[in-house]
Amino acid sequence: MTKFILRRIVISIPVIFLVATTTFFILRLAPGGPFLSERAIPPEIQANLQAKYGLDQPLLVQYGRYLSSLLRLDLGPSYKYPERTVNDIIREGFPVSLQLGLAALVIALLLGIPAGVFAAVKHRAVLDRLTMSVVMLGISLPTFVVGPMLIFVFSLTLYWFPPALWGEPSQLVLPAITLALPYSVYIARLTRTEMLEILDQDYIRTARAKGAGEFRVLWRHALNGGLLPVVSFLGPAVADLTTGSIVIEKIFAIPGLGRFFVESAFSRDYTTVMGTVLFYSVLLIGANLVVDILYRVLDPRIEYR
Amino acid sequence: MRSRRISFLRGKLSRLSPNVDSFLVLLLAASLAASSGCRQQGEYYGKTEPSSGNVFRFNNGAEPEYVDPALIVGQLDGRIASLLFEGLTNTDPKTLAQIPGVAERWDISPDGLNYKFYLRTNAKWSDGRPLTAKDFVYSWTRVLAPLTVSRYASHLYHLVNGEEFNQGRISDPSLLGIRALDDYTLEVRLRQPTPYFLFLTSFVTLFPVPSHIVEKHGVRWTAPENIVGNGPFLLSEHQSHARFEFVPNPRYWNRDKVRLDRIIAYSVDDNYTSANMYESGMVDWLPSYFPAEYVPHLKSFRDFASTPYLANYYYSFNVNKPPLDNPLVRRALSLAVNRRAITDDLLRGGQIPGAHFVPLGFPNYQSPPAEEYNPQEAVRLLAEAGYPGGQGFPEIEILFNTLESHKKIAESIQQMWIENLNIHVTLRNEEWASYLKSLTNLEYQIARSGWIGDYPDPTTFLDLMESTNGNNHTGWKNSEYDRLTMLARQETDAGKRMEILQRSEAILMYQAPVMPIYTSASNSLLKPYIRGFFPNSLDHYPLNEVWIDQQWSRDQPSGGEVR
Repeated sequence: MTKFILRRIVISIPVIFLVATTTFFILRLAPGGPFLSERAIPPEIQANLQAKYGLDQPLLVQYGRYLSSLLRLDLGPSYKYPERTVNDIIREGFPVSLQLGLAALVIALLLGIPAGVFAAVKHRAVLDRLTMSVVMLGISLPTFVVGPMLIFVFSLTLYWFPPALWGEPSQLVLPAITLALPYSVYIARLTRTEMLEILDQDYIRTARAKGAGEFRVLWRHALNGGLLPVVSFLGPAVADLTTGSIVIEKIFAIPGLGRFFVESAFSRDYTTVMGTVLFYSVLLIGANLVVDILYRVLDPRIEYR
Repeated sequence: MRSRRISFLRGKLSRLSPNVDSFLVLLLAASLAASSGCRQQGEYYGKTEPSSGNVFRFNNGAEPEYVDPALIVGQLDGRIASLLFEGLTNTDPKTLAQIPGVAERWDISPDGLNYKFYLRTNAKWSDGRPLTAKDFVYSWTRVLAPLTVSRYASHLYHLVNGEEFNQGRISDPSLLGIRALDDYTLEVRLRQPTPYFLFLTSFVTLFPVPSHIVEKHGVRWTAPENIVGNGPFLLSEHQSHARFEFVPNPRYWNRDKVRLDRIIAYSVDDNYTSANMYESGMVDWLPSYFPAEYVPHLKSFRDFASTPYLANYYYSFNVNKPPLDNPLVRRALSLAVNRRAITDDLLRGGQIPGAHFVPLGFPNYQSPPAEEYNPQEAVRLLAEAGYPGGQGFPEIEILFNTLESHKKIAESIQQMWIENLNIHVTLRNEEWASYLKSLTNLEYQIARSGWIGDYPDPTTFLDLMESTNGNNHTGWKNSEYDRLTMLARQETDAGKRMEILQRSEAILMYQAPVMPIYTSASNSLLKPYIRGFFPNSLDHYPLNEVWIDQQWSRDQPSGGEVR
């Protein structure tokens, strides 16, 4: 087990290195730079600005410097917000995205799994069709439609929840639901498909034959296996949910990490792009590792290799 | 499993597509239209109950890049810094005149080159240290020091040796035209008379910064736990990408006039969200941060205001490339644009159409008359240039940065040129950074441009087109224009100076390296219970004397004396 984890961590180092290298060079291919502005800056000031951040050096020197500071876990100053470092940005933004993401994850699981099980049990019945229709609707409606709709109804018409900002529990509700919806829908579909398959299997029939109650059969025997695909989906989902979504963050004005993935690319804020991409990669690798460990817990037949 | 993960990631990517915004527009416009039916005309937009306590809340539009006055370029950064710092002078929001700030009074020599500022002795830093003339010497030298890399250092090029020092040609700061004669007397020497210099002394770049704090904390000096200022408010909290909070500065010399107990400036960058916040009563003021397409609807509400703003919107012609190297062609193109149709039918955001380069709203300046729309004359000019009926005219391309409103304007101008001149026009859009690069490198034919004035003097626009100006991205060089611009700098008589500037603008319009389209409008929403706000063309809204009228009732006129 420990050996397995160690091996996975060692393997991920070249992966992260590769991500860093690719991102670094692709970024520099994009036209423009971080200090372009609509107003002309005297060439002397522009040169000083480039020199201050080492952008006047040959590309390979810059790359070497970046890697060496990366080894010290120093992601450098943000070019767009020079009074702060990329480490600051992640330190401030990630807890917000994490809270929102975890809240959304809980909602998604609480909605998705029961819906999936329910639909599987009532297979082909009207209720199955109905549940799955709602699920289809959930898939088809993107967050940038659901979010404003929720705001319109619950904030601007009923005045139940604030339409934006972050800090109070009431401000968590609408964004968490909006963020959770597509995930819950996906989880419901995964659960349903897998449950349908499992409910036909011998061991379920055996359990029923031995006189186990329907509730126990469903929630103890079947669901354990039925959750495997959900668990593997959770790996990338957790990484995704907790690094924030730019759409949700913009609609609800939440100071999370998601916006930086997109905005830093537009403003050619090289260090922030690099920092957030690497952070996301590490999170994704970590989440997948946890998933692989959970697999073993849910299905003892799987071995670590 | 793999395929599931990939499709999932693809889902994430598609959520980030630029179509998101236009989709939101449609949806929100629809919901707005649906909800407006049940609202009364001539009423207020959203909730109108003041928050408890003397708290003023506004949306500042985005996270500022800098708080350090020396480094600020953006307007929203300036709003934060203006609460925390104060310059030698202040701009009166009612008259745009210069009124005392840290300087109690000042003398100007008859040739306009020498300024003596007499500082008030009760001006202090918020940590109790006295604010002296030496602080200004330190701060201005710091702005000009090459390693500070202040992008607005050029505002101090007016000082003797300012430009030379900033560009590293001299390195001795004692040669600069600024000197502390004693603790409370500051002498400034300019290289040429600069009629708007007193305005610059009220501008953020020239604000004093506390040397003892800057030197101690370095780049971290603006963090809430470190920052020390001399303005009406103190920074009590900063949550990145969310908000700034301010409380009154007890050591501010004019503390008695400050009536608010707290200010919250949100950094919400989505205009729809921002409008929702205003509607639900979470903010009291929105300086322009709501969707432009709401404006026609918002116009009927009493808390909406639109004022001309010292900014213009224009198209630049790359005069190096035929056929746009011919002034006749450029004038023909300009005369074939129906500007009023663009502002009144297409944008409907309060913009004022005009073919003059200097926007409306400058005190004491009147642009020379300029014909806006004359398709017959345009056809005649094009024929004179060798393209009768548009025949033989090569295809031309309009470049703009990716934004819905730029696209709409470009499409409408494309249509007008095709219809009026019978020529081929194509459109090209690029995202911001690429667009800036194309513009600066003159890799375009016709490009959407815009400019916001820095100070209330027409030269903030006219200087742009000087052949040596780094912001002249047209390739246009005109020696007479350059001569007049230089002449205006030497002229000390205000009336004669304005005449010279009018002559240069006339040259600009006749030569037409740029095609002005409109003067921008500053649209804002302000709750009716806010007092002490004065609309002006500089978009300058000091919050020192703002207060909240808790007794406000719906029957009173909106905004009391100010609107």
